[in-house]
Amino acid sequence: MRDHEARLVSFLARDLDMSQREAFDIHLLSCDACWRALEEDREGRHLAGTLRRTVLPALVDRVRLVVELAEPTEATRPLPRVSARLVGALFATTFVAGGLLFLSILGTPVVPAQRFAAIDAVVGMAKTLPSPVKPSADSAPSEGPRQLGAPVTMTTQGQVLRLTRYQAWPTDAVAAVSSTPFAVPLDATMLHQSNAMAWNAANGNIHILCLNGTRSSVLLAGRGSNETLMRLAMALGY
Amino acid sequence: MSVGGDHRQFLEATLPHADVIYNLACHLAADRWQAEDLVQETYLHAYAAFASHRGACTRSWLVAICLNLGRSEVRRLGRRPREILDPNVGLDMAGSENVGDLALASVERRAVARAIARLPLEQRLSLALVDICGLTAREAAEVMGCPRGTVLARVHRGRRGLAQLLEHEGMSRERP
Repeated sequence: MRDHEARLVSFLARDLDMSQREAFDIHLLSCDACWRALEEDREGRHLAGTLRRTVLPALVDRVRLVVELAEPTEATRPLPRVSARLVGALFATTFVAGGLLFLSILGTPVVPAQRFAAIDAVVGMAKTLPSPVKPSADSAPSEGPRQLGAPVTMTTQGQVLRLTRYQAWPTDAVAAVSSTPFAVPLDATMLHQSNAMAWNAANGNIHILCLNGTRSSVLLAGRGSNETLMRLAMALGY
Repeated sequence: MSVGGDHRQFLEATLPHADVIYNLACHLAADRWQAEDLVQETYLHAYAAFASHRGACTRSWLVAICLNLGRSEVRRLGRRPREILDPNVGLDMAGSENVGDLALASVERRAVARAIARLPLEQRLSLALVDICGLTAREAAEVMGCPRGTVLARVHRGRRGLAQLLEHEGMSRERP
């Protein structure tokens, strides 16, 4: 019987030459076991094929985003094309100028301008989330946020972020936790006037809420309102 | 193939295979969200190693990364992978006139997914790689590290097992 199966597998894989194929065709007419095996193979292939899916555009966007934001590793880092000293000087100049401007406008603690990349990353990920849906009877606000999938750790401009998606009625949101405080955008509204511990802002239709702490900071972003994000922050214990 | 951190070149080479990776991830993960995370992790791992990826088939290379990550996750969680439901079903049904057929197709897909989950591991993986992800037997053999003939035999037994399981549930097609 094993020999029959081996022959049939070769027949299906088109591994037999013409004469072998003709011989097996004749064999199939007289062997019920092989005929049934052939039919089951075709049926199984058809059934398995019904599970083929097309990847969702939002997932492609998400993949594109995290790859574009990923830190190049030593293996992938491109060779420097300009002098490291020149880059350092430019960076230092930008850093000092940006810091002075930042201090003069807000009077809040200095944070490197490069850390806005982390906010861009979280907002970019929030843009890939589904649009708000009309709440149904079985999605009451009292249910609280529900974590979607496993958290993802990524590094952007040296800042390590742990990103988690939540279903936070009535919309989804991204929560980014970092041991480094998030920078304060110029257009942010301070929730505590004395420092940069808490602020909110908007980027298009994405609302952002940031709670900077001494040990860890959280940045929430989503299409929901500021109240939605505040509820989520409270539900998560921030 | 070495690109030295060029996101665009990496994405141009790998995104055409997103469907294949998504199908495999759906087979390995416990739910839609884990499948999406697995796809993302596969691409991040692939990007980190892209500079050392030379010559070999990009599709097989991505599949191998996804398979290794998926297996690690399965081991970590100590559970058996199962097929997840098609997240597109609800959307398709909303815009279609033939809701009945689509609902039936959805039910059938669930039954097929359940049946595949009952197959032996190697048959299940071979079937997923060849019949769901669309790899050739040679590519699947390369990914699984076994001879092409072994993959062909596993796929054949997997298909037969699937057909027999579903025949018991009264789901097989009419045979002439």
